[in-house]
Amino acid sequence: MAYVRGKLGQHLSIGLAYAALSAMALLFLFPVLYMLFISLRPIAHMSELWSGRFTLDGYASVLGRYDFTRYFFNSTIISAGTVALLMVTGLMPAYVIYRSRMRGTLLVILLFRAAPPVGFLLPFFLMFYWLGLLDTHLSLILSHAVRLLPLVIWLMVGYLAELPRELDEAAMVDGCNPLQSLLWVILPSVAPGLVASMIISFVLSWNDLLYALVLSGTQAKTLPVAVSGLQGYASTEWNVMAAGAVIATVPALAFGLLIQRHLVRGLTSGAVKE
Amino acid sequence: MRARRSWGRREWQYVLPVVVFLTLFQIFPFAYTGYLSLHHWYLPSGSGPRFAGLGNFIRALHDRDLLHSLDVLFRFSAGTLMLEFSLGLLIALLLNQDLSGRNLFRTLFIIPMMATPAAMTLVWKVMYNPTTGVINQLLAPLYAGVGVEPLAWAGSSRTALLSVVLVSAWRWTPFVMLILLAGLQAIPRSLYEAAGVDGATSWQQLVYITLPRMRTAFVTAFLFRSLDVLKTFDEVLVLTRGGPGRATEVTSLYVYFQGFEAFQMGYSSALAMVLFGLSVALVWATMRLSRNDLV
Repeated sequence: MAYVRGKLGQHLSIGLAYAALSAMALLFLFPVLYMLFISLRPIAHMSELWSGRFTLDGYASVLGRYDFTRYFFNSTIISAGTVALLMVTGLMPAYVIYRSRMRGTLLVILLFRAAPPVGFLLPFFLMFYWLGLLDTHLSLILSHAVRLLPLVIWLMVGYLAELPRELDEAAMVDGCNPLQSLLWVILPSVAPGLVASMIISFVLSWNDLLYALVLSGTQAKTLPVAVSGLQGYASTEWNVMAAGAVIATVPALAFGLLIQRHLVRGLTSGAVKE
Repeated sequence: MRARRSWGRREWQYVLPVVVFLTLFQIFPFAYTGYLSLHHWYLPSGSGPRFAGLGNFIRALHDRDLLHSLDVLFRFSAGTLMLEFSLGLLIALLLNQDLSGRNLFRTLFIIPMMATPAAMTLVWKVMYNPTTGVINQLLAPLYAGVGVEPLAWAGSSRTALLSVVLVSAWRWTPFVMLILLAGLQAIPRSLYEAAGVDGATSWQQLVYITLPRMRTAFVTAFLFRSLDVLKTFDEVLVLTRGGPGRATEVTSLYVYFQGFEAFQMGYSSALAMVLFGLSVALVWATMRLSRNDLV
């Protein structure tokens, strides 16, 4: 019998811990599993829990009749664009902040995060209206990127801080300019953290509802907006709603799960006393 | 020995594009919101903003709907944060054991956090349906046994806030759990072993060893979550749209409605500034109270 070390110590047997974890996991996963289950059901048998009928009708409907293929495409373009923009604009500041060790800037970043997104809706709406960019991918890419920039910088500074000092010395010694030292020396070592930041940004951009709701109409509509719109049309066709929900969720989930290890590191870089 | 500012001005040249980007798309817009907050502007009227000084803010002071939204926001925040932190701590404690397969569990627990909120909230809405929803279906024996009417969840002003709180806690507990778990894992095992040798019970170990050392983790998690909770919008919009009536109308929803349904642009901007002020106050208070140099 393995000796369980750790907080709850001798009083908690392994079996009990597993039971508790499994129960919690089931509870937390239930909505997702239910969503999958419902999406595969024919309408006539929707509320039955135990019958064995399954169908892909929901998916066919939602992709065809409800135009979800286009929204999927929109979401992909916007999220990918957001990530690209964030990489271009976020890396250098993170590197500079990390190098100059200006601790106050992280507080500034926190303040940026304090600004409520609702406060930006009107200015963005007006600005993009005047620029003729309403209902385009570009407007959403810009607004997503600028909102996620503080987070990306925060994360990247955290990942950079984990690098060994010698790497820094190497970068500085050759007298190359900041851009060069970043690209050739630092980036290869911080690649996992970089990938994690990219994926987190992708997921957060993909999941956005507020900006997409206000700034997009019919052309650039994203999946979250489309899914929330299903409430009216398909309120009795649960399989269609669920299929739409699954399509909207799966990419974000898949990507998110890929980097969950790094997500923990990045989020907690400030939480653990070094 | 590392030179601290060996780059001088050159490093800032590389940051310039970003600063421009931020200024254009963050600072200017927000400054515009601040500017508008000092004006009256009813959008459909065709005439532009009229200067109103602090008129909007004075109106805000007497606005009972605003007060109500703040009350809703406060109750919502308290509910969801309490759930998130207690459940998060519990799961973190469990995952901190040397169990094989705990990485699998951790992966599973992260799912609610990543799943697209708009989609999942819709699923919750379907689950919450009083007559055909699976939650009431599963709870039917319980209702019958206790002898109460099935809960109306999102459909009743009594239970709507609870319903929203549950969805929010469901989504964010993993987040809190991750941060707390990282804090837990930083505590050296040797401390527990030494305490065990001295005869300390698990409870004593929890209170005297674990919790004090998790302070930074708690503060970090609290800072992140409380800031986000003040801005809650997506979940509530999809689940209840602030209703029934105004039972779940949190402040950011109120701001949104004032702007995009009542078209009171100036007032809506002022309210956004109030929300911002609240967030800043929260950050300040948390940093002061925790006496932590987090940054």
